[in-house]
Amino acid sequence: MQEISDETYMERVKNGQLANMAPLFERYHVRMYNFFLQLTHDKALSQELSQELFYRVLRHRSGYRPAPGSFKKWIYTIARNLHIDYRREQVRVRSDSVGEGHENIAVPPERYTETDYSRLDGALQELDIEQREVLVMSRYQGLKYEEIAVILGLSVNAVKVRVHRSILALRKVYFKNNQ
Amino acid sequence: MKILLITIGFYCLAVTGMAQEFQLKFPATPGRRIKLENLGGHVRVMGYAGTEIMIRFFPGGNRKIQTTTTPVNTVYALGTDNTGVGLFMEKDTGEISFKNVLPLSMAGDYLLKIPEKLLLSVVSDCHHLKKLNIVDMQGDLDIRICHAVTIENAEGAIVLTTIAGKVDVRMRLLQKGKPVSIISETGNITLTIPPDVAADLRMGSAAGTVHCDFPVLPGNNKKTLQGDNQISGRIGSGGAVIHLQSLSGRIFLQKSKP
Amino acid sequence: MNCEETMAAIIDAREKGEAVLSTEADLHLAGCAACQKEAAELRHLLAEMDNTVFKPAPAALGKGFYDMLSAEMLSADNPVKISRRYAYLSAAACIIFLAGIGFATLLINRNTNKVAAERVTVNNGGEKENLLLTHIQDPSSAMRIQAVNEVESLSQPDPKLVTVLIQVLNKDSNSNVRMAAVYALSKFADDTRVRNGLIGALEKETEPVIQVLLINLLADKKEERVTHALQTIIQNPATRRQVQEIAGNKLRAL
Repeated sequence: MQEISDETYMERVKNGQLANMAPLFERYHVRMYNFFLQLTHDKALSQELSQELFYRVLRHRSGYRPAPGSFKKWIYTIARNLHIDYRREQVRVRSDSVGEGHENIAVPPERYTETDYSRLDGALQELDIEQREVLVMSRYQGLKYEEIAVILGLSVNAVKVRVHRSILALRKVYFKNNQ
Repeated sequence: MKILLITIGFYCLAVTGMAQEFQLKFPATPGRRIKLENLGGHVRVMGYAGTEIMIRFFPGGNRKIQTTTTPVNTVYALGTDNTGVGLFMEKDTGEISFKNVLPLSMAGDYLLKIPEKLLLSVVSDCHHLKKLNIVDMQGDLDIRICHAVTIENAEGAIVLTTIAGKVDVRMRLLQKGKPVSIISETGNITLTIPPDVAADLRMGSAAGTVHCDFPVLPGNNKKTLQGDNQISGRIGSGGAVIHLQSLSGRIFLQKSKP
Repeated sequence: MNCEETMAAIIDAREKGEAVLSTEADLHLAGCAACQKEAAELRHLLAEMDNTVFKPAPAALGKGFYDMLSAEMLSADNPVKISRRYAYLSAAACIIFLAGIGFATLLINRNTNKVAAERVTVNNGGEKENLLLTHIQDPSSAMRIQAVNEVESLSQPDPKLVTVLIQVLNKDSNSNVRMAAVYALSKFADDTRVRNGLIGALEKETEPVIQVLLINLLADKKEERVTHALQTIIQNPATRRQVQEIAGNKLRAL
C-alpha cells in the first residue's frame, strides 16, 4: 500500500482535519528535536522550540502551499525562523542585561553540560551559526542541497560552497581541539 | 526614554493590527482580584491609576473574530466569548476573571490596562501564553505560566512559577509582609531590588550559578549558607521575604540603580 | 589540482557514495604529505558525522503536542458567529497614542506615597501562633508564604503549627508555598515528626525544584529512610534528568 505523503496529511490539516497532524508529528518530531538540539545543544530549549514549532505549524496551517515535497521545506523553514527568533531574543536580552548591571558579574558561558556531549558536538558549537545550520541540515538532517537552497533562499551552488567550507572549518576546529 | 518607548509601543500595537477592545469599570477596592487564564500569544499588562479594565486584542491567527454591530455573545467549543475579545468573563464583587475561549488558530496578543492596585493572577498552560510583560502594578501578583515573563516597577507581593522562560523582575519597592517568591525550572531569574532593602533571603539553583549583589548576614536559623549554589541569610536587618529557586537556570539578585 | 580542490573532491565522493577519487586528486594526494594529513582528518570527520544518530526526543514533547492538538481539535469545530465592537485602525491608533501620552504623564507625576502594605502582623506567644494558623490557610498564596516564613522565626513552634506546616508541604496547590514550607521546616528537621513529614512529602512531590530541595535537605541529614523515595524518583521516567542525577548522587553517598 502506498504511504500517504506529508503533503497529503498537511493538506488535510489545512482543510480542518486536524487529526492528520498526528502522523506528521510522529514522522518529524524526533528529527526536528535533533535539529534544534544540534543548533543549540540545549535539551530543555530544544524541547521548547520543538513544541513551539508544531504549535506554529498548526496555527499557521492556512499559510501552507501544497506542492510535491513542499512540507519538509516548509517545516524546516519555520524551524529555522524559530531558531533565528530565539537567537535575536537572546541577543536582545543579553544587551539589556549588560546595560542593567550584569557587567560586574562573572557569567560563565551558557553551555549545557551533558554526559554524552561529544567532541564533535563541541566543535560544531564553535562554528558560526550560518556554518552550523547548513551542516546540521545537510550532514545530520540529510536534506538535499536543492531543499536547503529553498529554505535558505540561496542558489544550489551557493549552498554547496557553504557546506564544503563549513566542513573544512569544522575539521580545523575538531582536530585543533583534539590535539 | 522608557516612557517614550511605552508610548510608541502603544501606538505601534495599534497600527499593526485591527485592535478589538473591551472595557469595564472595576475599581481596585482592597482584596479585589483580576484573573487571566490561558490568554494567548504575547500579553502585556499595564497598571494605571484608574478604575476601568481595558483589554485590546490583536488577532494574529488565520481566522479573525467575526464582528457585527450588535453586541451578542459568541459561542466556541471552549466557552462563550462574552467580551468580544475572545474571552469568557465572570465577575463577582471580589474577583473578575477572563478565560480564553479561542482556538489556537485564532490566537492573538493582548494589551490590558488595569487599575494598579488590583491583585493580578495569571495562569496559563504551555500552549497559550507565550510571553508576559507586567508594568507598574502595585497589587500582588500571582503567576503560574510556562514561558518568559518580565515585570517592571512592581510594589506588591510576587508569587511566580514558570517552567522554561527567563524571569526578569524589577521591584520599585520591596515591603515587609509582601514576599517575593519565584521558581523557574530552567530559565534564568533576575530580581532587581532597591539597594537599601531589608530582607530574609533564600536563593539557589541545582545546576545553575547564583549571584548576589548584596552582603548576606546570618538569618533566622543563625547561619548563613553560601556555596553549593545556594545563598541564604539576611540582607540588612531582614524582613521582606525573598525566595528564588531554579533547577538549571542562573539566578541574579541585583541592586537597582538610583 | 591543489589541496583545496582535493578536499572538495573527497567531500564530493563521500556525498556521491563513491569509494575512489578522481585520478587528479589521487595524484595530488600521493605527492603532498600535508594534504595527506588533511585528507585523513577530513575522512575521519566525515565518517564520524555520518555515524551520528538522532537522540530520542523527550516523552514530554509528545504529551505536550497531543494536549495541544486535543485542545485545538476541540475548539476548531465550533460555530463562529457574532461579536461586537470593532476599533478602526486610525481611531485606535490615535486613542492609544493619546492614552500612551497620558500614561507617560502619570508615570512622571506619580506620587511617591505608597499605600501601606498588608502584612501578617504577629505578636508574641500563642496569639502569634493562632494568627499564623489562620494566615497559613488564607486564599492568597502571598499571605500563606508570609505566614509560613514567620514560623521560621519561632524557636519552639507549637506542635499543631508544625502539623499544619507538614500539611501545607503535602497539600498546598501552590509550589511557592510548598517551597516556603520546606524552608521553614528545614529548621526543625531533627524533630521526628518533621523528619517523617519531609520524607512523606518527597514521595509525593512532583515539582522538580522542590524535589531537589527535599532531596538535599534529607541527604544532608543522612536520612537513610529516604532510599526508597530516591529510587522511585530515579526510576520514574517523568522525573527531570537533573533531579534524577541529584537523587542518584545522594543515594550513592548515603
